[in-house]
Amino acid sequence: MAGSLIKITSASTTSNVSTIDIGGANWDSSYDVYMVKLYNLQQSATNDVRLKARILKSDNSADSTSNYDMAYKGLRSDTTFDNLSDTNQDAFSNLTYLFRGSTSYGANATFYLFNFNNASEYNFITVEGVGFGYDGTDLMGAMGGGVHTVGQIAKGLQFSLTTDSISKVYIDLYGLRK
Amino acid sequence: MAIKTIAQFRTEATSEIESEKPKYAQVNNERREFTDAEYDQAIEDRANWKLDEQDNGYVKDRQESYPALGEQLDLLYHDMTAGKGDKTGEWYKAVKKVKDDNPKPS
Repeated sequence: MAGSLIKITSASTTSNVSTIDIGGANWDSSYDVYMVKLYNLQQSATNDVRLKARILKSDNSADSTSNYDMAYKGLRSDTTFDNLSDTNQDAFSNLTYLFRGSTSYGANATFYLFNFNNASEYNFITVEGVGFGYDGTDLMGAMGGGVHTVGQIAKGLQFSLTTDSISKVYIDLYGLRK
Repeated sequence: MAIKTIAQFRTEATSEIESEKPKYAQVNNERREFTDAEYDQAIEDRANWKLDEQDNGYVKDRQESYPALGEQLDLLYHDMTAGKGDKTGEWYKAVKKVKDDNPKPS
């Protein structure tokens, strides 16, 4: 289909930031479905961290209200898989489950975004994320989805970590279907 | 360890965020320092995270420490074979150790 899988914008950093936005002022509202690819996410220290994301509202600010529900299967190489779920959180959390490792390791994820341009529907995302956890020997991943239970227009995502800063990441936003 | 309130965590978080300044946001590929509102949000986020870790951290830690289900079933099988389906069995000891190592806050 013409106009599908079009790269809309990118965001990246190689300096420490606490938050990084993709979309916002660069959002293209002409698509029904979007894909966000997040590569080589690294942290500023070596704490166990979890990637989280908030919806960017129509004014390009992050929505920190407690309206995020999510459910994932936690994919672990060290033991049996977990079920991770939560409701009424102030962000989508656990997007790559957990990782640790400063510059030696990192995390990667793909998100699909639905209903972001519909003011009367909830915003949905699906998540496939993976990171290198604990002492850098255990692969940790998450596969699942989330819903932002507010009927409002959204213009992207804001990523952050539970603790530590993001020291490096590359993020691409694609329009998938018009 | 005494249970802390969200107000106490907010005080801790305020001090921590203050010591971590400056913090940065990357917006439209421009790195800029947090606004006052973003610093306030960072304090709230840190306080909420601490509260969640206090109230639910032991659950996550236990989940991450329990032996795999297959391993637990194997422990149970050997306990039953040895006539140790009680607190002297290896399965009970393994689960109890995880619970003892990661106590519920009180």
